[in-house]
Amino acid sequence: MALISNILTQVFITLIAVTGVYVLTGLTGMFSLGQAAFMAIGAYVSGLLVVKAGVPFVLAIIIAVVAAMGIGYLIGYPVVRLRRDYISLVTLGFGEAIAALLNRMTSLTGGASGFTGIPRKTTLIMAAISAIAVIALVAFFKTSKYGRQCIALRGDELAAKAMGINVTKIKMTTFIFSVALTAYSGCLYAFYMSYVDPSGFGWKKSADWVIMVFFGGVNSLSGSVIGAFILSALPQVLRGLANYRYVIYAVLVLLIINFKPTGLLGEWELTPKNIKQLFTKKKSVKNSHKEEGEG
Amino acid sequence: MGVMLKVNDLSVNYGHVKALKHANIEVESGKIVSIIGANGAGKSTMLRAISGLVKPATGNVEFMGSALPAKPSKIVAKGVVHVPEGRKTFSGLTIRDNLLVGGYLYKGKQLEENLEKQYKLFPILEERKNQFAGTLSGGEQQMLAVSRGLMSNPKIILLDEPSMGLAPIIVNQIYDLIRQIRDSGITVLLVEQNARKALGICDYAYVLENGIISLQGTGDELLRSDSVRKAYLGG
Repeated sequence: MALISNILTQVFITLIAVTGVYVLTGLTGMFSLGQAAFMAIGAYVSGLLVVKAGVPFVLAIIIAVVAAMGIGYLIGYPVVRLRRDYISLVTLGFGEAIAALLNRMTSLTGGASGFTGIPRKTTLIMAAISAIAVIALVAFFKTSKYGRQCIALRGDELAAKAMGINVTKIKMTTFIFSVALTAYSGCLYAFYMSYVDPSGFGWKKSADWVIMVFFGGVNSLSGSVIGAFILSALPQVLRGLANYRYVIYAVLVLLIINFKPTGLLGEWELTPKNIKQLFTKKKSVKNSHKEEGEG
Repeated sequence: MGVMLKVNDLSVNYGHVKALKHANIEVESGKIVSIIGANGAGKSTMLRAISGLVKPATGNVEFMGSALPAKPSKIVAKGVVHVPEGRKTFSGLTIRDNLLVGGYLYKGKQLEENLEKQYKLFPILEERKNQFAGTLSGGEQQMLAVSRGLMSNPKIILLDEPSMGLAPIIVNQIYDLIRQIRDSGITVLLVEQNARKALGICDYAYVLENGIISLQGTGDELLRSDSVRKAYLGG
């Protein structure tokens, strides 16, 4: 039971981070390979505030998320003005720089040996409620006017601009929103593990999240969430298989990308209306899926 | 009817390439004005400069007596909307959502009214409103792009090559539509390579050649002009 609760808590924390990646990559088409750095900022800032300055837990989380948003603004200001492929390069560099910085600031962060002694405050219930709230918030964002504008500019930036959409502003808002979600997951992570070290926040983690989003379906929030759920739980559940679990993980990802390039769910969203439609007229849904794949 | 849109001494450079050189045009309100010219003559650049997608090197654009703002988002709010070439619909959104993006300046009842108006003008879009835009045919996507532009309730609509890559019968439908748009009181600035079509429909036209306005006149005048016939209508 303790093991299951442990796995689930970590999965929920990852879900929050991946939902942040979905907001960025799924809605606006920007790739961040330094997203994990924002998780690190959330984890370290909240942890340090509580341990070294005695700030209350909730306040520490708020300060950490706001601090991450501030840093997100600084890095986002040039980033959202770049072409998409450069965005991943800049964020990659930023992410590695943050990891290096955490390694070097030994007196404050403990350096490579990690930062310990963070009180354990995150519970399974808290992680679960946070994950559900974050997913609901993003679902609402996706169907809002801003979400539509994000998807529009992902489809065609020039046309979106010609329509009068303020592309830079929308991208910036979305970037900071995504940073806030990821930083929040970092806070929960620090107060669950009670120990953080810089090696866990490198580009590999950011890339993992991008894989999860694509695995489930980059155009579908429910797909991304399901993808994140499966892929983050899998290595934990298969712990008994030692390193073979990573082979299984890789094979699974390759199979999906090969046979269903739009991800598990494609553009389909798990809403009550769509589920009903699936059972009433299965055929038409399938057909529209095929055509989406081509477009 | 007065002059609605006035382009004064407009030049645009892309690096060293001078795409548009000191061009002047006037668009009277309630009319269809065409700009024709060969590939690379600067037609699309003219529209992009008007809608704020590129910054002009010299000159300015006057709209209803005052200078247009520089940002595309503010230009649309003034009532100038640009439908770029190549049927750029938002493939990740449904048709209804595409239209809603176009009408982002409005909300609630006004937005619904605009939507109803577009569905009346383009019944095919209502039929398929919940399909993704990528599933439409070329002609339907062009109609969606135009309709999406109209969702912002423009005073003038800038159409860039609406006939590009479409079958002749579909081109005729699109042109009927352009007439309908004008008749509903919206001014049209039309850019086309299809010179015969564009001159046939317009009230006034300009010929762009290597970034310079080389000729202007009513559609009939230009259709009869020798140089236009040689260069654009095949003799």
